[in-house]
Amino acid sequence: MKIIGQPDISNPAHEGINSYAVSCSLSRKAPMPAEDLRRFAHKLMKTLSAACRAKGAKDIGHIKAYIEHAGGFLTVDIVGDPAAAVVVEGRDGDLAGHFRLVLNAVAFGISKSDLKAATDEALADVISAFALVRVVVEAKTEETLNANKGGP
Amino acid sequence: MKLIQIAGYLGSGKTTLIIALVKALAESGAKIAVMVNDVGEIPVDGRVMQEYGLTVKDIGGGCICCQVAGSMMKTLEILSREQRPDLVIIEPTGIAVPESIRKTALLTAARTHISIGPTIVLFDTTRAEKLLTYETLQRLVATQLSDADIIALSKVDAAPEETITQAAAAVRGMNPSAEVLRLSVRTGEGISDLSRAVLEMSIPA
Repeated sequence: MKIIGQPDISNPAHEGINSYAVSCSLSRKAPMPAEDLRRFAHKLMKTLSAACRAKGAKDIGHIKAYIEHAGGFLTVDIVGDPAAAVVVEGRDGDLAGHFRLVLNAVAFGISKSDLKAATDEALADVISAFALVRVVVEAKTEETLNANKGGP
Repeated sequence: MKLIQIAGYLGSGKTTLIIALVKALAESGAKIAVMVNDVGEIPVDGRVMQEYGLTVKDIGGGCICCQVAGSMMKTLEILSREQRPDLVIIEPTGIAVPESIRKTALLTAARTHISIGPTIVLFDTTRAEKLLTYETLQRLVATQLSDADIIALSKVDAAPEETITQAAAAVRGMNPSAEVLRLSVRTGEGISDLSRAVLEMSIPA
């Protein structure tokens, strides 16, 4: 696991906005049909946006993920609110027993540590719900675009 | 080598627009390079564009309007030297300030012979009220809009007509000199207008 910190910057336009990203490989004994992979992607967006809100985020800037597997790829995102529509697109392939996930969350009004916690918890919940196993955490980053001094 | 910015707040539809716009621009025969800057350390947008057949230079590690401006300069120089595209389309982060990017790009002009095309700023009409009124978001969005040569009211297929009309009036108030147009990548509305503007419009440095 690699953790990379970002230097704080002083651009006032970025005040209160934090981001966090995770990349990992996931697998399951019984390969997932394309429809289940789409449901996984959809649930991840809903769960994470709700978790961010529960921890005080005032706006879900943009949560997006890229899922890559041997037969195709999916992109998924949600903007603005946990009730917002989740958009899942891409090219479905054959059953996916193993896939790579890149998850990127940007939110307004939530502290860096809370965004990290929300992301890790939501990801763990959804992985569990779909009986997936995290094979390896390839990279994990944490950054603050502007110090959210004192939290939201 | 003309620089085009497709800017706008998080989730306004920049990546989706660029995928559609590059397809439209390709018909002109223009050689196009795309530079993408994601907020997160692990880029997603560039991967998505690559899946749709675009050749993309990814810049991660921060925002090109401030943190990693030097990376953008270096990338422009490499593009100028090695690929010499007619158009460089930049997708900055959703929190970037377009004017900062324009100024940074101009610092490379002596080496890249870059010219400045339109800065297109997307405004998500499905979130109009929040973006125009909410705390510091409003300040950031207003700053982005004030830097635009063209304001594209995005996702008009998904917003009520009354909201679109109100949003158009509000953004015109923030930037009276910008051209304001309607955009829906889903229906194709506005794509040909933007394509034409990208090819024909030049902004004095």
